[in-house]
Amino acid sequence: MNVLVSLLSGLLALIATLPAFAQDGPLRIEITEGVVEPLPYAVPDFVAETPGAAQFAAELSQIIAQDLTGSGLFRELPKAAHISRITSFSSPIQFADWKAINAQALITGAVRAEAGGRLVVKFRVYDVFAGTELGKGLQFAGNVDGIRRMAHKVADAVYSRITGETGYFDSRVVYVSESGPKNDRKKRLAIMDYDGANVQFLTGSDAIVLAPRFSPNGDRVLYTSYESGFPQIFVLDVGSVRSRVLRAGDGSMSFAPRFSPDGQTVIFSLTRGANTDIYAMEVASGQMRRLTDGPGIDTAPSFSPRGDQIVFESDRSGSQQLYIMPATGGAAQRISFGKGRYGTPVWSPRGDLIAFTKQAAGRFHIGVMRTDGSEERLLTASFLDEGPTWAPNGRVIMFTRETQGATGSASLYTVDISGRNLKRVRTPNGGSDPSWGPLQ
Amino acid sequence: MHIGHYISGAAHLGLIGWMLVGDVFEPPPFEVTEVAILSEEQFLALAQPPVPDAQPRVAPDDPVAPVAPEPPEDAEAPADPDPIAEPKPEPDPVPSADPEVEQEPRPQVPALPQPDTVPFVDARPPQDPIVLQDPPVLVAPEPEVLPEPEPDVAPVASIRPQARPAPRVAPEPVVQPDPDVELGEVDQPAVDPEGPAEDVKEQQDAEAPEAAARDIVTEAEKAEAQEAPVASLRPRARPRPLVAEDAQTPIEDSVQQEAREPETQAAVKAALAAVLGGNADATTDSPLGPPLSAGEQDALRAAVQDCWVVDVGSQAANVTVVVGMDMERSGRVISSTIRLVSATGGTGAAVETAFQAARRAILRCQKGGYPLPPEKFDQWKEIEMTFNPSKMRLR
Repeated sequence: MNVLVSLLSGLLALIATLPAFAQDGPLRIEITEGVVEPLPYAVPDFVAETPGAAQFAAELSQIIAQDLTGSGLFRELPKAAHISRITSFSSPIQFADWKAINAQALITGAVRAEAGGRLVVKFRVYDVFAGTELGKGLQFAGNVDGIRRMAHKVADAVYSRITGETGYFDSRVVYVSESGPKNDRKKRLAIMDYDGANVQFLTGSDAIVLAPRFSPNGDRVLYTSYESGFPQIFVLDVGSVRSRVLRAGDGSMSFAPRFSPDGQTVIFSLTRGANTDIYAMEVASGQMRRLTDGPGIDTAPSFSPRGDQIVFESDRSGSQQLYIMPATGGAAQRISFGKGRYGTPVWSPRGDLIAFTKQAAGRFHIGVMRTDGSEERLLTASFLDEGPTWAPNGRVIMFTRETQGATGSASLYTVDISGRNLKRVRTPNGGSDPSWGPLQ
Repeated sequence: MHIGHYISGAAHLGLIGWMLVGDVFEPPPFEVTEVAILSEEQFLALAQPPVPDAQPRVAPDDPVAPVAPEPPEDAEAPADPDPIAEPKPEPDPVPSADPEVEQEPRPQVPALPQPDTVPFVDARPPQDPIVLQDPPVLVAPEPEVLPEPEPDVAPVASIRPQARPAPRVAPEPVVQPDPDVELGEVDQPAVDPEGPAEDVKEQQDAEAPEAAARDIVTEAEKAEAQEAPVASLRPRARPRPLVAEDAQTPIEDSVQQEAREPETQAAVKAALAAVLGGNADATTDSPLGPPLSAGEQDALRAAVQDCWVVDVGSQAANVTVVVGMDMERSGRVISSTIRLVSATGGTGAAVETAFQAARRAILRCQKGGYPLPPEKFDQWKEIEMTFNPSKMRLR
C-alpha cells in the first residue's frame, strides 16, 4: 500500500512540474500597489470666438483650473509647457504633443459673447493616452455676471467624466461670518460659493447666530439665533432673505436644527429644565414629536440620506458618544467606542460614512467612521477643529478650525476624506459653522 | 619649425609697420557741408515764392480760385495780369542759378535759386505780400504743376534722420514698474512693517501640492508619529523551532490507519484527476516554452504599478478589475485590444472609472515597451492584469 502511495505521489510531483514549462492561458499579473497622486491635465485658454469674448476666455480656463486643481485630484500642467496651441475649437487634437508633456486629460473650450451680455461656453474633454474624447461636448449659456458659475459647471462636468462621480464646484456654503476681537465678536450669517467667492450676508450683526443648515434643495436655511435672549430656531428663505421663528415651546431653548432629506421635517434639540432631548417638527404644521427621552443630553441629530435613521451625540453613557436610532425614535445603538469624546456627527450624502468631531488627549480632530462605527479614521488634528459638513458628492469635508490664544480666530477648512488636500477656504472675515449646500 | 616662426614674425612686423606708416588709422575723408545762418527776414524771404515762376507755389493754398487751369508756360498771361506783372522785373532765379553752384553742396548758393537771396527780398515791391494775401485774384494752376518747380527749392538744412526701429526685446509691452520696485521672478507685494497689526501677525503656512505617495498619512497620524513613545514595547520571545506535531503525537493504531486508507485513496484519486484534467487543457491551449520567471513578472508588475493612480476616496477604489490585452513582440501593448475582462465590487460608473485608470496605467508606463524577454513572447503575447486596490483604499 505504501508503495502505491509513493508511486502516486511521485507521479503527482512529476505532473505538477509540467505547468512550469507550459502556462495555462494568458500571462496573469496581479497589481495591488498603486500611487496616490493628482492626475495631470491641461486646460489651454478657451478660444474666443467673438472679439468681445476675449476677456472671458482666459478667466474661464483659470477658474476651471482652480476648481480641478483645488480638489487635490488633479494637477494642472502649466501653459508654458504646452506644445500644441488650441486656436480653434473644432481643430483636431495633436495627442502626441499632449502625451509628450504627460497630460492625461485635456480640456478645450470656446466662448462666444452675444448681444445683451450673454455668454455661450462650450467645451470638450479628451483622454490623451487613449486618444479619444471623454463623453460629448457640452455648452452652457448665461449672463456675463454668471461666468464663475459657468466655469464651475464646466469643472463639474470634467470632474464627473474623469472620476465617474458628481462634482461639487457649483455649490454654495452658508456659514457664520465672524469679525472683531474674541471678547466682542460679531457674528452674521453669510453665504458664499464653495471656494469663498461671492460672499453675501444674510443677517445683521445685532444678534448672535449659530449653526446654519441648508435645506436639501438649498432654498432655505435653518439657524439658531439669540435674538430673543435665548436660543431659538429660525428658518430663512434664501431668495427673499426673510426669516421666521420655528416656535418649539415657550421658555425652552431650541438649537442644533437640521432638515430631513425631503425638507419637510426639522429635527433639533430642545432643553426643558436640565434635560435636553431630540425632537422632530413638521415644518408646514409645526407639529412636534419627541424622539429621545432620557436624563442625558441628546443633541446634534443628523438624518441618514434615506431618512430612515438619525445619528446624534449623547452623554447617556457617561461620556459624549455617537448613537444611531430610527427616524421615528426608539432604541439607540452606540457606534463610537474609542478614547475621547465624540460629537457633531453628520451622515455622508453617500450614506456610507459618518463625519464627526473628536476630542482626545487635548486635541480636536475631524474624523470619519462607517455607520456601524468601524474603521474610524481621524483626518485632522489641531487646537480646535469642529463642525464638519459634507460636500454634495460626499468626497470633501468642510469644518471650522480655531487658533489658540487671545488673538485666535476661526476659519473654514476643507479636507478630502482620504485625509489629503487639507486647505483653508479664503473668506473676507473669520468663519465658522459651515453648511454645504446642494449642487446647483 | 623655426622657419615658420621667422616667416610669421616677419609678416607681423610688416603688417605693424604698414599700419603705422600707412594711413591705416587715418580717418576716411568725409564731406564737409557749410551751414549758413539766416535771419528771420531772410528765412521769410526764402519762404516767399520766386516771383516769376512762383505762381504754382502760391496756388496750392488757393482752392477757391479754380479758374481755368493753364499750363505753367501760360502763367504769364493770367486773368489778372497786374500782380503777376510786378514780379517780372525781378531776375529770373532759374536761369541765374549757377550750375556749378548747384553741384557744390554749399548751402548758401544752392539753398536758393537766386544767389542773391537778400537783395531779391529787398527789391521786392511791397505789394507782393498783399497779392499773396489776396489769393482769389490769382490764377490757380493745375495741381499737377505744383511738383515741377520744387527742384529750385533746396533745403537749408537737412532733416535729422529718424532712428531705425529696433526690434522689441519683449513680445508684449510691459508696464513700467515703479522705480522703487526691485525686479524679481515673481510678483510679490511689499510688506509694510508699520501696517496694521492684524496683517503683520497673520500666519501663513507654507503651502505646496502634496507629493505622490503610496500611503496616505493624515494630519492626525502625523501628529501621532511626531510624539515620542511613552514606553518601549517589551521584546518578544525568541521563536521556538517548529516541531512536527506528528512527532509528538503517539502513533495511531493500525485500526485507525486502515479506517483512513479509503479516504486517502479517494483524495489521491481526486487530486490526480484534477491535475490530469487541468494538464489536459494546458497541453492544448497553453503556449510553449519556459514561463516568465518571478523576477520578470515582478519587473512587469513594478512597471505598471508606478503609473496606476488610485483615488482612494472614490467609489472606484472598491472595484477590482481584470484587464486583458494583447502584446507586440517589442513589449508594447496593442492599445485597441485593451479590454475589461471582469470586475467586482462596484457599480457601473465605478467599474468604468476603475477600468479607465487601469488602462491609463498600462498605456502610460509602457513607453518604448515593457521589459519582457522576447524569447518568451509566446508566454506573454496575451496578458491579463488584475488591479486590486483593496490594500490601498480606506475601507
